[in-house]
Amino acid sequence: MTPLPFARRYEDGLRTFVFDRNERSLRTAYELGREAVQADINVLTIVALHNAALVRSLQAADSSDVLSLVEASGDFLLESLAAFEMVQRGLTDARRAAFRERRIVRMLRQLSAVLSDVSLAAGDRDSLRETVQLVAEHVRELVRADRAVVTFATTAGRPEITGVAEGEDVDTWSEVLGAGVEEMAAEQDAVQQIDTIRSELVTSRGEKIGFVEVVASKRIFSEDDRGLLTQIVQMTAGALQRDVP
Amino acid sequence: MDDQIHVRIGCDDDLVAARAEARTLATALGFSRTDATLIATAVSEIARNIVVHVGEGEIRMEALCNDTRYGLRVVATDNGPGIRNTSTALEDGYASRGGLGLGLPGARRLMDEFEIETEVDRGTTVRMTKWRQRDELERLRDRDRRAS
Repeated sequence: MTPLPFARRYEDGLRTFVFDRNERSLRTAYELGREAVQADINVLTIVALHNAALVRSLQAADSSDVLSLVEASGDFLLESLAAFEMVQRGLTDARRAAFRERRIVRMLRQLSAVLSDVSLAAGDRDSLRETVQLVAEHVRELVRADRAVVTFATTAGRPEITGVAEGEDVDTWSEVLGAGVEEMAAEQDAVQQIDTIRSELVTSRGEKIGFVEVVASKRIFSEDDRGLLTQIVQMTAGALQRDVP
Repeated sequence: MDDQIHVRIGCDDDLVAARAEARTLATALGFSRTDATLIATAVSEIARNIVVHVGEGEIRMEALCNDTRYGLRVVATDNGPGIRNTSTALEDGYASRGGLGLGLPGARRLMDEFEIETEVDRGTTVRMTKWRQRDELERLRDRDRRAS
């Protein structure tokens, strides 16, 4: 048997619900919404169908029932749009992830360009200091830390170079798109907790030449943060080892 | 509101009972009409997951209350094959293959807290909670009730 067209089933479902409100009919609305999402029927179409179906239901109703029928039809519409809400939240999460990824790629590229600067190899202390500071600032922003410290010690007898970046964790992408589900949950759990990661700068010969440390006071670093930090530490160690005799 | 509500999930029709219980509890806890709908939707998604992927299971619901918030906790359990990779199962479109964000990832996005415990060949438990802030008036009434 061929299923009835979507519009017809929506109207039948709405009519059944407004004259006999029960969970079974609301479930029908939810299923219709789910089906609409899967069939690429958009929200505007649902609202137009709803409006037309409501008008026809009201024509068949007693005038004294109008208010309660309109109210009930709102519940049916709300239920049919719930699946769209799920999809909308998923899209927001996906946009947020894409925005964040683009920003990370841009910052890593920028950092990579600085680290490959030839002046680092020449052992220019000012240039090294600037680089170490820049790494600290980039690390802090990329992993959303409140504080980042990068320390580089070359050979014995030469003082360490330290870069420190501090500031409140400002999550630009959350400001633009709102926090994602996982991050919101992690941040709720982590309020009042302090999380610290310290990672050594090690040359390709296995010598320790410094460390990078990040501290967050209101969140726990995610696996993505840890991965990013590892990547930056490797890039930094690779660049700075050129200054190690 | 202290008692747990149990709904057995064994067939598609049981979704209606689970949704009705979730909506009634949400309304009793003062959740808005919109939030009650979102809770009923999340319950539908996990109940549907049980019916489609396992066949049978159970959904328990309970009211939570602390100084600042009311909550509705939903716990869905089954003794099915378990989920081999939970992070994959939470990716959009894993089960539906449509990438639309329905199913488990959809339920997770509608609730404030969501966690899955699963063991291969032993079963799966999904816990999810929706919270709402208590307003000042509710807190004062509560204090008066306790005092009297």
